[in-house]
Amino acid sequence: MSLLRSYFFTGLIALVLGIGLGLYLGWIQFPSEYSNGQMCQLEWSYQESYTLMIARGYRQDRNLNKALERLRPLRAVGVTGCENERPYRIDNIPDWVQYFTEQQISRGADPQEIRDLVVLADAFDRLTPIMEGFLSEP
Amino acid sequence: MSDDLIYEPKNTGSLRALTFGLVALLALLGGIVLGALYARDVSPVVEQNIRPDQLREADQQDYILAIALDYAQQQDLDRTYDLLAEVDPRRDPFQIAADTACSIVRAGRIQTSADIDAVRHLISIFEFQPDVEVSCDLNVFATSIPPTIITPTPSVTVPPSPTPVATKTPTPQPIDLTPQVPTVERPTPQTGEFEVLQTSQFCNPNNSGVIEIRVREANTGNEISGVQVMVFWNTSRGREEQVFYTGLKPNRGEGYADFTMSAGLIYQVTIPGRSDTTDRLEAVPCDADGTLRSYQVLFQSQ
Repeated sequence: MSLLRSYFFTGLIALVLGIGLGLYLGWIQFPSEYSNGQMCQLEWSYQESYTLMIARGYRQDRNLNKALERLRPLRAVGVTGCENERPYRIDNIPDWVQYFTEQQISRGADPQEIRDLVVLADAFDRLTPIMEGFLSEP
Repeated sequence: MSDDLIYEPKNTGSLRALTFGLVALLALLGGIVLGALYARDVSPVVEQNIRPDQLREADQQDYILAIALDYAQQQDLDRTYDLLAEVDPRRDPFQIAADTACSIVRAGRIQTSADIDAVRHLISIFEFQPDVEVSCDLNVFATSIPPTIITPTPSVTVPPSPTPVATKTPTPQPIDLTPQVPTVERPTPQTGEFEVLQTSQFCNPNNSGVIEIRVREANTGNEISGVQVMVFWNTSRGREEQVFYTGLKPNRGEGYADFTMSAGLIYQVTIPGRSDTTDRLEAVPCDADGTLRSYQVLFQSQ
């Protein structure tokens, strides 16, 4: 009986070790290729590119509701799978456009890109003094 | 002699060790399999810094449409090529654009004139590229009509913007408007005016509050794609309207288009400048479950 118990505990310990090893392999060493991501999980630089592209679309069609609708998937707050730790978590879209535009100005980004963003920020009534100089074409 | 016949296990200790080892090995392997299955299939790692090629299909389509918007303004094909390549590095970027255009059309994701615009921009990326295979009919987008509401030229006398609630009396046919409409290069006839041939209502819980519109030719009965249809209604903010085109859901018919109503509002449908207006279509419940009444509107060329 004590022999059987020894077998059982040996097996149990090995099983636990094996599960731990399997989790390590599956989560860290060989994680499955991720292919079902959401826009809010995109790398920061891609989210910025996406926002810029939508801003350029807005300059074409001047459809503010559509621009808002297109940017909405970037929202990370309260979205399952998007609880990321980033310096800025996108929730309020106009606020995000303002933040990103000011970031671009601070970074000294391409003035044309800034102008595209400022037009959208202005449409969201988020024109701040730092943006005003970019509102008109040179 | 008799001693040889008696079985005496000599290595009891090593046999026991072997059994222990076997049990441990089997349990370890089983654990690894269980752990790996859980980690990869049941609860895979949620990545937080993914690339566009790791997006799910709908978000990838949105991303590609954004690239099309960018192209429309920048007209920079190299940049567009690079952006599309990031969406799927293994495929031809122009083919990605073509396949996405078809996927969006098939999925019925085109609801507004802004959507039509975006798809046109997407088509403009690949339309002149060789070796791009288009697996659907995108001719409906190949029109010179801008996807905005057609506005008559100033020389034409038309009533100022229609009153929010139109009268039940059909407005006179603005026959003179026809020549003012930009030319549509389309195989189907576009010359005749249209009349509201039939308006019927139905109640279907699976199709609640929908206006199904069909436009067809009088002589042949063939449905006509690419006809601009306008639905307008009143809200507390004033008159609102939406313009869309027939044929964007080819599986429902070449001349088919639909519009989803909101409860409590009253809608009217017209082919701007080319037909009279339907009666008021009320989005009211038609059964005890709160299903909204739906309508079928048939326009026919005269």
